[in-house]
Amino acid sequence: MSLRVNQVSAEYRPNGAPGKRVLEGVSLHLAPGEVVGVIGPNGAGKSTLLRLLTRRLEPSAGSITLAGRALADFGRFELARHLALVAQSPVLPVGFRVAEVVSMGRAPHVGLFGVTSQADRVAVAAALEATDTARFGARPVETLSGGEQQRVVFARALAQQPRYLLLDEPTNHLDLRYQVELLGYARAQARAGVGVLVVLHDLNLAARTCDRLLVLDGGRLVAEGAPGAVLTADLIGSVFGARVRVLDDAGTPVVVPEFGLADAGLQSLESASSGDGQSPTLLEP
Amino acid sequence: MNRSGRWLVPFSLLATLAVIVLAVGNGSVYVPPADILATFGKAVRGEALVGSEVIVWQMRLPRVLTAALVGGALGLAGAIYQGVFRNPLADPYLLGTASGAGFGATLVAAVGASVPLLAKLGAPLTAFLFGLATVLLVAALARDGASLPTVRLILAGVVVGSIFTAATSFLMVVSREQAAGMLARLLGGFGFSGWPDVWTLLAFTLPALLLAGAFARALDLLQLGEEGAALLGLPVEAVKYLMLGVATLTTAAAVSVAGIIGFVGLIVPHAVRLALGPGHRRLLPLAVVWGAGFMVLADLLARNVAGPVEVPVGIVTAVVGGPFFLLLLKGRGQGGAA
Repeated sequence: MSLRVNQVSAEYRPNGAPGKRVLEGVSLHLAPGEVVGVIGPNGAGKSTLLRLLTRRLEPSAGSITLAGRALADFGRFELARHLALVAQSPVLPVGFRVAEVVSMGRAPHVGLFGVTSQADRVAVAAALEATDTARFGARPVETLSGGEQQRVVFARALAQQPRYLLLDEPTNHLDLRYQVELLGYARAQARAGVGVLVVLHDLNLAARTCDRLLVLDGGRLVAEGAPGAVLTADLIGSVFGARVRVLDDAGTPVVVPEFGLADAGLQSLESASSGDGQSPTLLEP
Repeated sequence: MNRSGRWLVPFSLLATLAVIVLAVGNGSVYVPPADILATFGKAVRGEALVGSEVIVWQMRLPRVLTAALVGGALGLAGAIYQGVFRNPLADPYLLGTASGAGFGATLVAAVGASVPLLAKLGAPLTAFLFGLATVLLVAALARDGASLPTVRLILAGVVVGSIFTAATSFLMVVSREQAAGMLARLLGGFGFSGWPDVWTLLAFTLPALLLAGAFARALDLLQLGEEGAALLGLPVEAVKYLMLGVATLTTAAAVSVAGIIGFVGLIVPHAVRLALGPGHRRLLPLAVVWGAGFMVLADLLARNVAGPVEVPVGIVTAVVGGPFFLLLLKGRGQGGAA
């Protein structure tokens, strides 16, 4: 039943020229009910991975399967019933009311010419409820704050009733409260059996939200595992080129950036204490 | 949730019918509504018409119905263009489609007699082909990567439209003997309208409305942007080009019958949106109904404002439409917070 990516490569080909490889032999799987985070520096291939999963880009090698079927075999609406994406900067339709925008998420179920059913109305109501947006239902979307709008976009994705939810840096431009709220909604979906793949920049939010982390660097998957295993000072230093200390908060790693301290001894000391005996599963490049 | 829209649709229909009856009654000889309805009944039953009944049935009714259908066609075309381009300033006039279609219609009038293909196609279909070529050319010229910026779209539309207008003028100059008739048509008006125009417009506009109505939900989804709509499973390209074709077809029908009449396709969908919101299931039919009512009123004004001289209706739509649009905009600004 899971979403599997097998040895996938991708390249962008402007004007048919030999393309630039942006993903190289990446494999991953996402099971129902788990929250998997994708982290990595800018240009690591995180967004490309999401483009592949939503079929906006064809892999140049490798395969992607959903519940054992090739992704390419899914019909347009069928795919949208399985996968929903919360994009980084989604377009909000000016003038439409919140409830109308959320009910657009039912399009994959209703089809082009279908009639909305009781099941559609129930799904929309549940999506509004789950994101605490029901009370804005009658307001035009453009009158909401940025954080509220992002919740509406999330609600629309929930209205699709997808098996898998893909979130592309969903907390960008949100203040702390909305960041925590939104990722809380994502975790609640996972508890209800939805597989959640979330691209995040904030390593601490990623550590707190995700059951597993995937680390992309230069188009390759360089590490995979539980947050405590993956987020080490060494790995963060080599992937992000940033000096950090990693503290341990009851099993969850906390990444603290260091400024201008050239004390290598301190860094290795902290990484040893946070590793907690586990070693990160470093994958072959 | 449905705004106060339930009563607005039947009310608009009734109001437009009332305006049509009023417009048919107006003229050198006033005909009261009861007589108009009686004439209508007699004509439908095939009974012989006498006196003012002939004026009503042969002259006034086709003229008013043509105006109504042209207004409805332009309102529909504007609503669809604005939906497809996600751009409130897209309309048959600003996109250059009307000018392209006008050139096609003029081409048939000027050289149709000597070019069998054009004669076979007829004015509305030739207008459609040129209108379609125009809208595709304008969209291609305006495209900037994946996006279609408003300013570029309008600029491209105005430039391509000007080229077609120039070409149309050239056609008129070289075919001098027919020039007066062609110019009169292209200036925009219903002075020559007859029943054949009504049937042409119905044949184009009714299927267009039904087709567009069937895609109302798809047009709503397009408002999420092409990527957002595609993520929900919409076959975006197919829907876009089909809808551009439909809007251009109705524009071509309107232009080939009544010339180039600006502002209607811009104002009417705007007004409907301000009153009812942007959902296309309401927007499309009401854009037709309001467009029809607006054009009949504009034609009524054009016939009466300067005594015995008829003002081209395009002047009326521009003069009335501009301030009306500004007023609506202002009203929205005040009521928007509520």
